[in-house]
Amino acid sequence: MTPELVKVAAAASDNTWAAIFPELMLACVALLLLVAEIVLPKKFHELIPSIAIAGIVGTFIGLLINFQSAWLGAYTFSGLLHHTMGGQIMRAFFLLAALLVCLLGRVSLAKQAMPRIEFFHLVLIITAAMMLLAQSAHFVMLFVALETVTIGFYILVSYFRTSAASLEAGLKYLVMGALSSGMLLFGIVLLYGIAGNPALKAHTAESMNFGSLAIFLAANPHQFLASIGIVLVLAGVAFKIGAFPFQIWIPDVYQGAPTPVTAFLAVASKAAGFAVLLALAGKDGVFASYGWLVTPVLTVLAAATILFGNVAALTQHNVKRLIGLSGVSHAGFLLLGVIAASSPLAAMATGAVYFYLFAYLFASFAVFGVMTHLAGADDSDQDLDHYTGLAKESPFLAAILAIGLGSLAGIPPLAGFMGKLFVFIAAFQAGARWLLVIAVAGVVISIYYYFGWIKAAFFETWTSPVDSPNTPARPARTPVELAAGIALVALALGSLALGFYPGTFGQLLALR
Amino acid sequence: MNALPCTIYISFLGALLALGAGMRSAATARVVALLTALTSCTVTFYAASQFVPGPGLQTLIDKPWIPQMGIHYHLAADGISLTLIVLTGLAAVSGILFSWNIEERAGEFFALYLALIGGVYGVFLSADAFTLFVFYEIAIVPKYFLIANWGSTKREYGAMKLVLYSFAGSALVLAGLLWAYAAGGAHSFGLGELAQAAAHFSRHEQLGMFALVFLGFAVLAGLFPFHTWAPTGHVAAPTAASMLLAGVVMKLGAYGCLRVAMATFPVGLAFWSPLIAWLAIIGIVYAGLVALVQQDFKFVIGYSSVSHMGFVLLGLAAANATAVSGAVLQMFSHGVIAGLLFAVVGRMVYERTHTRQLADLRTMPLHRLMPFAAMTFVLAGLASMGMPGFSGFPAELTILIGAWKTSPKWALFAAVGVLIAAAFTLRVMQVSFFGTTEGTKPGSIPAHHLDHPMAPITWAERAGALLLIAAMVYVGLKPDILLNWITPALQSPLFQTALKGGAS
Repeated sequence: MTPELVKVAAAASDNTWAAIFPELMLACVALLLLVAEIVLPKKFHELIPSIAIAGIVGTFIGLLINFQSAWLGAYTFSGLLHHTMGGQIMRAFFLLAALLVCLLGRVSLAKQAMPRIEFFHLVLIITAAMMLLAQSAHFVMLFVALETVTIGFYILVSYFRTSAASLEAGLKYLVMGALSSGMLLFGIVLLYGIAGNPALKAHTAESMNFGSLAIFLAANPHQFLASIGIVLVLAGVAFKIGAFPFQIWIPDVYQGAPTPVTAFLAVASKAAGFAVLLALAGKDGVFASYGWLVTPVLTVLAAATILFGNVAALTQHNVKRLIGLSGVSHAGFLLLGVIAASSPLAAMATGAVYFYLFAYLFASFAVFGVMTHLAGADDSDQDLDHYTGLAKESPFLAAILAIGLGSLAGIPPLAGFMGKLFVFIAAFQAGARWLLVIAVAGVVISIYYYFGWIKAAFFETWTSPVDSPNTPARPARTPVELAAGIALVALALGSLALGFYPGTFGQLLALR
Repeated sequence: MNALPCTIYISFLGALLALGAGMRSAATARVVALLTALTSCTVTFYAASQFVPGPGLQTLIDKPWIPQMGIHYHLAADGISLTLIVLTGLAAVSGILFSWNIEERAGEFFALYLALIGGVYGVFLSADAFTLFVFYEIAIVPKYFLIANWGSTKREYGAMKLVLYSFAGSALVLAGLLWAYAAGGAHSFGLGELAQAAAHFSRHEQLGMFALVFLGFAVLAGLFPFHTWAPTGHVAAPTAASMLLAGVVMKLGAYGCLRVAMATFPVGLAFWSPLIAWLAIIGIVYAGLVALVQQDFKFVIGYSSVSHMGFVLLGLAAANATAVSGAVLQMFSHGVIAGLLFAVVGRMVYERTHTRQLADLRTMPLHRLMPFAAMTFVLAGLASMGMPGFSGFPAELTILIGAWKTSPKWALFAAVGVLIAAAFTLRVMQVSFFGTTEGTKPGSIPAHHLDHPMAPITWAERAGALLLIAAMVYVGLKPDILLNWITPALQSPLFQTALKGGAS
């Protein structure tokens, strides 16, 4: 055996806790928050969110220092986890998202009479679970991590418990989430059962394990029950990313959830879904030998998702619903990247998906950051009309909004444009030409609502409704605090930098 | 020559400065914008004086941008791009002079205006299809906001229609370019490299790629039947934006057709050129006839733009050296003339009479009330009709001669368009400036105009108009100054292959 193989085998044989040090760190900080709330006197409670933020920053820096981790390529915890470069990238992604959610959470929670600490606790727990999810190599690990994420989100979505909209959103997410978990679980069980059937070639006792399952599927390329299992698993994941026709929960839940949670759902939860999809449907993924099934299913999903998201967003006036539906269309563009990644022809497709995710993170959080500052006491009521005159009153927020929306719309030379370009090129190489036609049409449609939003912020002036005195006044703008301001500037600069010169991030593309 | 890329950076920098200056006062923003435009205009003239005409693009800067994808930030110029850059410089300066009366949020107006100019310079200088595309999109975005915020009639509709057409066009271009890029082995977006790779594409691929890229760019050049954004957009836009739209932005489309579509896919050009030529001729005649019956002064000019751009497209489709050089000359000529016409209609006349209805204008003896405007319009109108001595004449003549070489039928039908252009120009000239004043004593002014004496033509308007008239007459009398740049550029191997119908 070569030295590398020895190392891998050694790492796989024992439970190596150090491999998941970042996740452990987050869990400890999360517990620390709860302890701190009990122990610290009331006047210090203001500081507790800072502990959470400091914990995330610390973990993030630690992760970056150990980015070329010794565990790369290894399987740990008896094959539950597989540490890859993609996993490292997603870890960094989720930490970044959690950091931003905590910063926005501070701004948003200040407007509500709500307990604070649990919010940050849950964000940390969910983040740790997502990080594990992105590295799971076993269906048990995948399911447990996914459920931890989902259950955390049930609470977060209905966190503003005095708001009927928030509670309704929580209930909808619960029902829909349970349905999707059920489908996912049923798919997993079918795969487990059929792969354990001794009558079939390459059957395995370890059929929850991605590696063994992949070998089994390769040996039985047209198994009927396995096909049903695969489709059900894909459907379960499609719920998480909000792909058509599993997007029905998105507008209501996005509208009702507190804005930072909406951001968390829209960015991190969606990205987690794509990390799973890449592991399952990528060209080295578990379902690689079922490309004849996976590619058409994903193609139909992607086409319908892009069209539905963009067309449905055209008529929206509530910005939370609008960004939710535009997020559906982004899921469609990302699916395009996953389809390309499932083909051996497109070398840079996986990297393109990662790049797109980061571009989407920078742009979305910039927009959500502005939304958080514009929201009033009723968080679910955020209308396009509230944006009129923003450029006059707060040029800073308006500029951030313009960069964020421009990047989402794919205006060069912002990051969103580069992300779309890379994904489209990858899809072209993979031969998904008709899907590209739909995607390009979707981009053109999306210009309508993104430009309408920018125009409302920059070029329309607010006139208080004279004729209808019952119309509630527009909520006051929240002043931008230092920490949130720095974060917003960093996000805008990130969108610009990734667009002007992808540089280091361009190396993501070299990822296989 | 090597200073040319500075025009891009100066414009974008000026946009930021104007935005800042606008926070202090509108006047400061105006001055900053004018200085910016003058500086970049001076740079182009200086570069033009140093220019040694020759075949092929002269590289100005070439840096790897996204090395993983083989994308370069590659700027280069030849006689064709130089012609259009000089046009951009002139149009930018005169447009700012004609926007001197903008008071409402002047800083933002000039910032968007200069950003648009920067994008246009970028497109004309790009030698990498990707760089070109990025600048092309940058030029689209400000147009929307310029029209939607500072425009007039049905501005939001006009702005959104224009932007959706533009983005749909650029989406087609992107699709075609990506196809060529992927088919060429995903090595490079450089125009030269793409053309080399395209030589090995199958006939079907070339036909498809050419159709996508040419059609995408031609939407912005006003090719019939995709021209409908142009009249509504031009009418809705504020004066300076209409001047730029008709004067420069439509040329972006035509330039893209020539530089990217035709030079890269010669086989596609040979196949599609008859169809394009007939569409162009239909556009010339149809838009001319529509212009003949318009009741709104600005719509007449809007449709005349479509008609004149039809000549450019016809010249390109005829695909021989004479016709194409005529097309480039016509781009320059129409840019100047359309700028003048829109300036007269939108700024000089409309800002003072507050009407663009020809029926209303007919009752005002405008040639007495504003002789300068009348003089300018008559000169621009004559040039637009193709009178010798103005830039329109050598341009359209060259195109017709070139088109005759390819197919006499095309030249004959297009010549009908020249007659129609004369008809609608003379009609609108007569009705608006020399209208009948029945019911009033000859020589007197209708009573309702005495209540509001018209503001005199300002120095800014005079300067802007004189600048454009000078360019129009100078090129009309001495077209070889531009042709001496354009003709050698067409001798480059890329264009030679395209103009021979991809035979070599």
